[in-house]
Amino acid sequence: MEGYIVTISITILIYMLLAGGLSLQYGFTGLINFGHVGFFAIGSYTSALLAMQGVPILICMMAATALAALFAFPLGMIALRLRGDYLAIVTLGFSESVRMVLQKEEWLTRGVHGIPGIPRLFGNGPAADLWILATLVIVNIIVFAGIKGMIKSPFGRVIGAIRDNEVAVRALGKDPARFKTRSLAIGAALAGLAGAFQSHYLTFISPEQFVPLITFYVWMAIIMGGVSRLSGVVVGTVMLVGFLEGSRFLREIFPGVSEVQLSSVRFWIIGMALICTMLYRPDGLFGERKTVKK
Amino acid sequence: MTALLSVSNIGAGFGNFKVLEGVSLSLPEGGLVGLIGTNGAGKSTLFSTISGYIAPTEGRVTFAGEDITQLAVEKRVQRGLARTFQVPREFSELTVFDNMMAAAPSQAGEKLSALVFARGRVARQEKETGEKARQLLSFLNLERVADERAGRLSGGQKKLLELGRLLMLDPKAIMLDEPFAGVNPVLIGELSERIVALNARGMSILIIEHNLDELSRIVPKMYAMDRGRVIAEGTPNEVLANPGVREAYMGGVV
Repeated sequence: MEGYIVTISITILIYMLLAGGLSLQYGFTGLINFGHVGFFAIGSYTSALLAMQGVPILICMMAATALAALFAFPLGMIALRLRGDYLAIVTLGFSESVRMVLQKEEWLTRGVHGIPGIPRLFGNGPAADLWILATLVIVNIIVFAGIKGMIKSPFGRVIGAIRDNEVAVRALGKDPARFKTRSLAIGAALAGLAGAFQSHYLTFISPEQFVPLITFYVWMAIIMGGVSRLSGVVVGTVMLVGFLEGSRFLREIFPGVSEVQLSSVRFWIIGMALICTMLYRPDGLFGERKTVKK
Repeated sequence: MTALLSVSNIGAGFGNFKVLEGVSLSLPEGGLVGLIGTNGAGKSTLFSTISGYIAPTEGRVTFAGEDITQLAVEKRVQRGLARTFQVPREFSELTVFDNMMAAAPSQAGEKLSALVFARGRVARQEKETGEKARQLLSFLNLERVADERAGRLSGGQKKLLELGRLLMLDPKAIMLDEPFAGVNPVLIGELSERIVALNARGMSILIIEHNLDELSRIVPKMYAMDRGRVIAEGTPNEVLANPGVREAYMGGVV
C-alpha cells in the first residue's frame, strides 16, 4: 500500500510538471496547446535513448528538457503568427506526428516495441522510489516558484496582456510572437523534463504512452483547478491524477464490476466532474477571475 | 509648421470594394487635428492603414520624414506613432496599474535572462516605471482604481486607461479613435481637457470623433470624409458649413 501511494504521488508530480507548463502557456499567455504530449514524448525518448548509450542520467534529463524547448521554436514560428485557434490544430498535429515518427522510425526508437530497460533514477533499490519522489517534490517547488516569479515579472505582465488582447499589445509597439514563442518553449521544456522523469521512473516507454489523451488529462486537471491560479493547477492535478490512479482500488470495493466497466465508470465520473466544474465553478475550483461578484 | 505625419493619396480596399480612395491628410508637428465623417466613411480604416494593421493598395504614409508605408505595426509605434481603438482594448484581467506597466517600452525584465541575471536592474527599472505610471494615472484621474482589474472599469475609464497606456510610450503623435464615444458628459469634458493639455505640451494629436460639438470646441483644424474620400478640410466652422459635408450628414435634405 505504501508503495502504491508513492507510485501515485510520483505520477501526480510528473503530471504537475506538465500542468505547470500548460498553465503558463494557456492560463497566463492564452496559447491553446493541444499537443503538449508531443513535448512530453520528445523529452521521454531523448532521455531514454541517451541513457541507453551510457550517458549520465542527469545530463540525459537536461538534454531532454533542452530538446523539447528547442522543438517549440520552429513550431512557434509557424504557428504563433496564426490566429489562436489554429495553434490548437497545429499543435495537435505536431504531437501526433511525433508519435508517428516514434512508431515508424524503428532504427532509432524500436517502434511499437518501445524501449525496455531504461536506467532508473537512483538505481533499483527499494529506497529509489522515495528518492525519485523527493527529487520530484523539490523540482516541482523550484519550477512553480519559477513560474510564479515569471508571471509577476515584466515578462509575465506582457504575456498576460497578450492573453487579454493581442492587438493592443502590438499597438504598444511590442511583438507578441517573441513573447509567445518563449512561453511555448518554457512550457515545452517542462513537458520534456516530465518526460525524462517518466522514462527514468517507469524504465519502459513506448509510443502508445504518448497519445493525445494525455494532453487532455493535463487540460482537465488545469481546468478543474483554475487555469491561471498556480494553486488551482496543483490541486487540479492532484485531484485528477489521484483519482485516475486511485480509482483502480474501486474494483476491490465492487468485486462484480469488470475492468472494462470500471474504466467506463471512471470516465463517467471525470466527465461529470468537468461538467460540474464548468457549471458551478467556470474558473476552476481555485479560480477567481470573473467569478468574483461585486 | 512642418508635417509630422502625412498621408498621401492612400487607397485601400478588399477585392474590388474600395474603402479608401486617394486620401491625403497631414498632421503638423504639435498639431491637433480632427477627422469626421458618417459611419462607413472610412475613418477607422484610414487609422488602421496609418498604423499598419491594413496594407494600403496605393499611396504613402510618412512619419517624421520617414516612409513607413511598409513598416510592421510595432515598428511604427516604436517610431513614436501610437493609436487607440474605437472599442477599448484594455487588458481586462490585469489591474489598471499593470495595464500601464505592460505598456512601458523596452523593459529589461521582459527578457527572461535579465530576470535571472540582472535582477537589480529589473527592480530599479520597475520602480522608475511604476513612478511614471502613477503620475500618469493621477493625470488621468484613475489613481483611485489603480488596483482594480481593468475589465471592471466603465467605458469612459477604459478610454482614459487606453490613452494612459499610450502616454507610457512617450509618443510623438497619437491617433484617438472616437475618444468620446460611450463616455458620460462629465467625463467627456475631463477627457477633452486632458487632450488639450497634452497638445499644449507639444504632442501631435489626430482625433476621429462623432461628437462634433465637443470636437469643434477643441480642434483648430478638421478633415471630413465621405465614402472613402476626403471631402473637406479647414477650420471646424468651414468644414461644418461645407455643402458636401452637410449633405453627407443630413442625406441631402438640408
